[in-house]
Amino acid sequence: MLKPSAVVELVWQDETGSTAVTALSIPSSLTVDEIDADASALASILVPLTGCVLIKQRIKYINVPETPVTASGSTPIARTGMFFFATDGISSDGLISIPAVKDSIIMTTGPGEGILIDETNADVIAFTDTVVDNGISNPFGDDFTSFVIAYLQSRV
Amino acid sequence: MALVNLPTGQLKIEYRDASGSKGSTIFHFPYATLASVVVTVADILSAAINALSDAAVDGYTITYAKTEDTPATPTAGSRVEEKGNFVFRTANGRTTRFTIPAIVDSVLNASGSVNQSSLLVTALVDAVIAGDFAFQSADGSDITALLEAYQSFRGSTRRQLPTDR
Repeated sequence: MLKPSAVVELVWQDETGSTAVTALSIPSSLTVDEIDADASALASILVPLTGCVLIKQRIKYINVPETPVTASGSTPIARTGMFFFATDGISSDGLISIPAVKDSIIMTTGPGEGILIDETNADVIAFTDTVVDNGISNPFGDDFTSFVIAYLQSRV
Repeated sequence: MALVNLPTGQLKIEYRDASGSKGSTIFHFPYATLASVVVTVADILSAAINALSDAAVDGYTITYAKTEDTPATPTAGSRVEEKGNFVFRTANGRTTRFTIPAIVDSVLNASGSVNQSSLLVTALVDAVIAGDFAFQSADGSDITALLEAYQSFRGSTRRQLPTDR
């Protein structure tokens, strides 16, 4: 469930380059624009109270499980699936990593045995379709338009 | 000199494996996407990921960030370890607080308490408790009054130590 309060973080930098955060809570029912307006107005009041300068502002909506969660298997978090996607734009493609991928989605035959993630697996297709169909993009804002390949990687 | 949004917001889905170790997946979405839309997509993605991963999805955070394109110069001698602590009462009888790093000396009393009659401080407190802003405590209660305000010093982290030491 979405927490009742979103968090506004104002990031300050001092003379030495060190940073610190002023964090406040605000109703998560508000839009980003509404929260942004309050954050900007508050920052203008805080500026004369500090010797630091404002370098960043973050608005965070936080969702937590309603009941404690339990892992469905013993796969370690470091066993990571790397999913590569292509974009229409001129920027580079992007990747999405998923930790603790299930053994059941790894290829068991052929040259990719034990490494490649099975692109024909129904759960893999459901995930990659969800990414492509819902406006997920790379960090530069170019929407992912197609799934390319996925493989297993150990990320210790 | 202005805060400029990044091209994208960030959705970070977090996990916990059977050993308790934590991991995460980061997605990006165009900055103009409404948070309510991202929440819907995040729930769909979480369900899809649950089918791929043995780790349990342990919540997610949606972040919209802006950065200053031409930061000003900090005041000489300013240090983030020097905090101005502002503790407020809330409508449900609890307290909430925030800190201001490198609090300016001009709003401090000799004891280290914050001069609550300073115009800069009254402007801040009035804005926070008078309903000008929607800020509240983490549990959703209204902020009603300033309880105390004082200077304190935090220990430097390793990253905050001088690089030329």
